[in-house]
Amino acid sequence: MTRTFHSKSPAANRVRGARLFLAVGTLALACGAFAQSGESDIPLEYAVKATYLYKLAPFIDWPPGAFASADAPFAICVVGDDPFDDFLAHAIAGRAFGMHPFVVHRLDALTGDADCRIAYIGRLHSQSVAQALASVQGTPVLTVTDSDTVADNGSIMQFVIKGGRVRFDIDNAAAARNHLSISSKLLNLAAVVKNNG
Amino acid sequence: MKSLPRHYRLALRPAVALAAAAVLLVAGALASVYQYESARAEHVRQLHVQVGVLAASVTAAAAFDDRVAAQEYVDALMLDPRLDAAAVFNDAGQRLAGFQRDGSPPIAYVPPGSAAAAHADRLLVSAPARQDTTTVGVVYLRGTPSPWSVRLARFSGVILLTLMAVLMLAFVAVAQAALTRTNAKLHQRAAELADANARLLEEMEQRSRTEAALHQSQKMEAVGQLSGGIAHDFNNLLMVLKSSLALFGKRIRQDDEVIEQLAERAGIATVSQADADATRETLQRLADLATQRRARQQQIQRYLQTAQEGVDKAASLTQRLLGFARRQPLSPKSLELDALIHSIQPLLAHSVASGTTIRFQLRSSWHVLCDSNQMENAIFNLVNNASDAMPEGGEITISTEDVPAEAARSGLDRALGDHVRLSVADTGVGMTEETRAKAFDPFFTTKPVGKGTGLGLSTILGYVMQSNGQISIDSEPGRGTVVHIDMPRARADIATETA
Repeated sequence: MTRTFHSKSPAANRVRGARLFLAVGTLALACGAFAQSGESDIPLEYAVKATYLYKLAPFIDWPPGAFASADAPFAICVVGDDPFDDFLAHAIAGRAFGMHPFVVHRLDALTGDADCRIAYIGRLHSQSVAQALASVQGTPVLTVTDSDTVADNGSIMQFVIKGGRVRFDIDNAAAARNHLSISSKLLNLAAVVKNNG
Repeated sequence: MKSLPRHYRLALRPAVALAAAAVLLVAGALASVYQYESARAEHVRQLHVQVGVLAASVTAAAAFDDRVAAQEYVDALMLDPRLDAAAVFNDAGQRLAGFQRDGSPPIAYVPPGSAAAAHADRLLVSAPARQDTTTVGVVYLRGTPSPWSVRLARFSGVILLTLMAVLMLAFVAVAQAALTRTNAKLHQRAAELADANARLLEEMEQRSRTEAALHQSQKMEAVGQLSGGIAHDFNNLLMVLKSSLALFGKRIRQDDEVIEQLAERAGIATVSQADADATRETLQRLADLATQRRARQQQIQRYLQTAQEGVDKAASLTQRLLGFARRQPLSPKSLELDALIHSIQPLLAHSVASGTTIRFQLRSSWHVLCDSNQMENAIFNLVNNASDAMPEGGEITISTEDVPAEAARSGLDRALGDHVRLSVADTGVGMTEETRAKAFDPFFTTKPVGKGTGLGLSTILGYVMQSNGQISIDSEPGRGTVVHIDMPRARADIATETA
């Protein structure tokens, strides 16, 4: 039933576009707060993406073996170039997914033993995106790429800019390959959902 | 089990009605409070459910700041008219979506743990938007207060109960007032009736007294007329009898002397001429006859005398009857009663038995108009009666006093004006009321047969009435009797005095 209200009608999209500026404005305020506390300036787009990264965690149904222990940290890995600077580290400070405190790891290359739950794959230098994705295939790792840097390539999620806003596409088949199921609520927000890629 | 007295049950009725009304009111109030609270609780419960649904629905939108999606959820929820406002905030306290009806203020964000908690308004509920254990925002809902029509409908029951109670009270009050009024009226009527009854009884008594008096006076009148008429005729007849008897006596003694002389002479002749036997026998026989005749005549004279005495007695009787019938010839003179009594004082003293004394208290100086002989007779008669009433002796008091009209004791006395009261009191056996009532009746007597004629007081009554006076008796058994004769003061006396 709720799905009915999320049909992507043209009228709804127009409304969304009209309200974008407000959203950007509030985010700008939030970023301004970080800026005042002496953090480095990053584009608003990446600040939004950084918050989205850790907010994704609860909308994913993690398989039982995803965490080594009940209070094992929830690792968000930034692979390759880091567009978030210190923003992400500060944003997750003190936050946790349930009993799992968020931690940020910076990796040059994604490997299977990195123990990442969410892996943001930026601009890579030491491996290809496909290699990175392949290294974690079959393990409970939510792979996220950015359309700015990587073309559509088989990651589970990909940030896209639509109508001036940060949205995301979701590849449900890729998620299934990594034994992850994604909340329908999140799917509802997705710009594009691919079920068999 | 004893039932309550009737008046008690009556008194309980309004109290019962009041209690019933109070119970109804209390029950109504309780019911309305319960209904109000339960309806409110239900509303709040529904609000909690709705805010929970909204919170669960908008988690993703809140997490990823999708205002459009969040607003769509809110808009969908706000189709429910019982919601007044809604708001979705992200975890930074930024409002992502919201709605409020016209005229309602938007919902403000309250940081968690703030003192101004959401309970200031009972219809404002909130729920955290949680995905798993992660709180991504907070959702507020505010319910619309129930419209007046709904509230009135909800309270219709208690309003009905209240109306019923008020009606009942009003009815009881009206009934009670009517009852009280009716009671008061009844009391008044009863009092009036009692008054009227008392008046009626008094009037009846008065009337019976008057009737008795009238009856008595009519009886006296009738008896007086009858006896007066008879006495008059009898008197005439007695006069005829008397004169006839007188003539008869006279006639029967006629020639007696001649016969006596002749007989005497014959007796002498008989003595002188003894040889004429035949003649002697005849003469002897004549002398015997004369002697016998003389003896017979003496007898006749005795009979005559007896008859004449009887006629005299009868005449005296008829005279007294005439006196009672107020038909006796009177020759009234102006006189002082004191002087009259003084003149007969010695005779009075002798007329009573030895053990009886007479006291005189004569204090009158006014003249009265009356027949002195009859007045003397009346006084003798009263003294005689008094003496007879005291067989063992006692004291008779004859008193007189002047009674001015203004000092009169009763209405009758007052009608008499100035008068002199003559009283003859004894210390005798007194009279019963019955005797007193009949005392003036002719031929009524309490004396032994042959001693009284029963005409004494009757004659006095007739005489006093004929003299425009009054007579009355005060008596009780064992306390003596007083007979009062009230004679009006003579006009000549008044004239003399004023002159």
